[in-house]
Amino acid sequence: MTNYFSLFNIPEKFSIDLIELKARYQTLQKLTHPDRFVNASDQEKRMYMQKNTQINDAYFVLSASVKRGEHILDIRGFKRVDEQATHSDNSFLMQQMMLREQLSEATDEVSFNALEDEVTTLTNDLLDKVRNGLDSHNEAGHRAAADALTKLKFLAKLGEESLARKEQIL
Amino acid sequence: MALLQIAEPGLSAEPHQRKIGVGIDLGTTNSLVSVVKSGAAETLPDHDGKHLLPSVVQYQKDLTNVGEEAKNASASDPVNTIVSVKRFMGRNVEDVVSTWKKLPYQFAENSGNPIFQTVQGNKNPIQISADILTALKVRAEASMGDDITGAVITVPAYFDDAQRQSTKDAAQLAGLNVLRLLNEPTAAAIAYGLDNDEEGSIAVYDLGGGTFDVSILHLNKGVFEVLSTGGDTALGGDDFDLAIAEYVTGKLGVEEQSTKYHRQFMNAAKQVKEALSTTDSATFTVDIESHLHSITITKLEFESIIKPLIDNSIKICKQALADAKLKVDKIQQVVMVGGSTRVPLVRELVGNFFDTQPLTSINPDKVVAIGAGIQADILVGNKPDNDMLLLDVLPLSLGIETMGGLVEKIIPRNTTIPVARAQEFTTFKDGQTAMMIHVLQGERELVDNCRSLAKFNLTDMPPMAAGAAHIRVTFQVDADGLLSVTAMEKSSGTQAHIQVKPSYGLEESEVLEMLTASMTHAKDDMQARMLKEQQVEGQRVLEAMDGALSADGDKLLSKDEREAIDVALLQLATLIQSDDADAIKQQIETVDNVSQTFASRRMDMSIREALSGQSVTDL
Repeated sequence: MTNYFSLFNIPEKFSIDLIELKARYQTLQKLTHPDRFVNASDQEKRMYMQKNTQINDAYFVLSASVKRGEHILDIRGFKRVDEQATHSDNSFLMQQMMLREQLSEATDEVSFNALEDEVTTLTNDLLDKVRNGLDSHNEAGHRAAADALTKLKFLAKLGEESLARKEQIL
Repeated sequence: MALLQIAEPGLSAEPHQRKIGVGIDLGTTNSLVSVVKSGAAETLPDHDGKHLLPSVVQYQKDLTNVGEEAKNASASDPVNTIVSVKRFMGRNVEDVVSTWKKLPYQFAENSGNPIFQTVQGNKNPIQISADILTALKVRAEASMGDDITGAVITVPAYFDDAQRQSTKDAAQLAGLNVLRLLNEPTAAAIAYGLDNDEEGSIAVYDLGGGTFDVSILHLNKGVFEVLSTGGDTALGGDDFDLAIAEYVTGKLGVEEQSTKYHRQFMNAAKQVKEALSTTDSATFTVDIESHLHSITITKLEFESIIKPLIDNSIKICKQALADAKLKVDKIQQVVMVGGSTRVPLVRELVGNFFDTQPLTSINPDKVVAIGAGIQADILVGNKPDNDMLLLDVLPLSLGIETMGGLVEKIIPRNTTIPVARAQEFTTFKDGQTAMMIHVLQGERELVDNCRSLAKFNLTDMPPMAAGAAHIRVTFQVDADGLLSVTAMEKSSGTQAHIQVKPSYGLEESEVLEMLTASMTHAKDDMQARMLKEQQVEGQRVLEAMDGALSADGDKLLSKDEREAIDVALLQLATLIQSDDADAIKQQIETVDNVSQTFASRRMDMSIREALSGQSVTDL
């Protein structure tokens, strides 16, 4: 599989400079965008179109923390198991249920804000776990990172639902 | 022996030769063509000095009229005169008939596409649009005295894949090389040079004769993104005219405005409307049964008549802002498009709502075409120093149908294109050997509320237990927003690919067929055209390869690799002097094949070089 960090020529780390990433993305765009190859041969058009598509995907993956973490695990050959595994983590399940209850009962700005704050705190905590796990470069660390990434997806979904509901109600 | 021309890197063989890129606004009511002349884009007039070409086509037995002449025939020959064909692009006939109930046309039965039955035979919307495009192409070629290299054609931001594909097919049919389809609001923003701004949000307010559109764009360092669009397909300047006519009818005490006088009332209303853009009062005059009726209408009266209509458009702007999740104070510029934005009250109310002076210095009928012309000039390579890059986004989400009539989105809207995304699906029943893939476009969750683009079957899968098959569905969207879909069964190792085109586009073979049919000349002409095309293409390949080889040939190629390429080029140089189109075509492919590795090494090198210029602290 393509290593997107190599494609952008940046270090393979979970913490990245998003402004730097964007600058590199724009450099690569200017080099490979189909608009630059209007007069080129079909072969070049095809080749650069594929490269440009890959660059768009790479930017999409690298700029989103969860996708970036998963990509690091993938390029290190760590086999990510599917989301079912998290269901055995009882304390996380309990926490999710409570947050969902909180969401269904939220009716005013204050309650939504409280919920959002809680989600943010939990998210930051999990992001730290991902970072530490990936920086450790060992199997146990990778497992911990994979677990945290799965939980982050649940939280992200909750965050989206909260936003949608807030818009609907307020 | 033919000698290869060697040019300095970066210098083309004929530096004086400018390529001609035209911008085309293929509008519902009127169409325009523009080109950059001495640095500025301008629209091109016809023989009579008229820039706007009415988007009307009249088919007579042996003659096709486009524009003013066809428009004048629309009353006397309604069946054979197709007005505003853009409304029918990429739509099926049931849609068309149920949306516009009083159409005077005769549609052929049992066809997906609306087929107009005319005295010249059956015509579909793609062919009719191609006739409009051909008229503009001929106009541009006559004006520039040379062939057109390519065209940028504008489409509404909300156009879906089928509508975009149909537009592209029409261009191909008209013999135009499409450089890019460009969203109309984006084109208007380019015309005002807003792409030079660093970052900001822009509203494009487009009030035409019969339709209203608003788009909210976001701009960030040359990246244009369409955040939201809104509109009303039955709100425009014609409604202003109608409102005036109704007001006058009441005031004059004339009986129910009979159809006989309808046209006269509407024309008089239009004159009053236009006069009141610059004066404080105007006289409405109609001749009923040789009796002249006049009435004076003040600007204030006029404004109170049309204000409710403009308020409707403002409501739609509010919704568009909400969809874009933006507050009104975030909008920095408002671009005005469409003839009806000349009405002072429109400018005033729009300015008040967005709390900014709208941009009106460019003719609102021409602004979209002008933006397209600027972009076309850049794309054909006339401005090598221009750094601007337009990154477009997918206007509507793409997905496939899953269990229970739900749509699973595979690529969400506003994703930067070109893009490829894949998702895996599995089988529902034991022993299932086929799967139907239904491709949809739209934002809603239910299949019934989205636009169906294509259906196809993945067959010959090996029978497996339910849930055991892994079917990978890949969506690929090119820079014009056009889609191809591939489905593949993974786990068995057997693969099945299917490429789909939208239901209302044309197959490549159909385009070719129509192209051949539209050629009034004999087969020889067709062959001559093909030979010329191959010779030009061969010459282009030679020049491009020479440039590439002299720049990087020594660095990137071994002696043997270089020799293989040189031999192939030499053969091509000889062949393009011949009249064997097929042989030239084959040799071009050979050159492509032997130089593939070279081309890909060059690409990788240029990427490495560009990024090495940027340093990272802890690299």
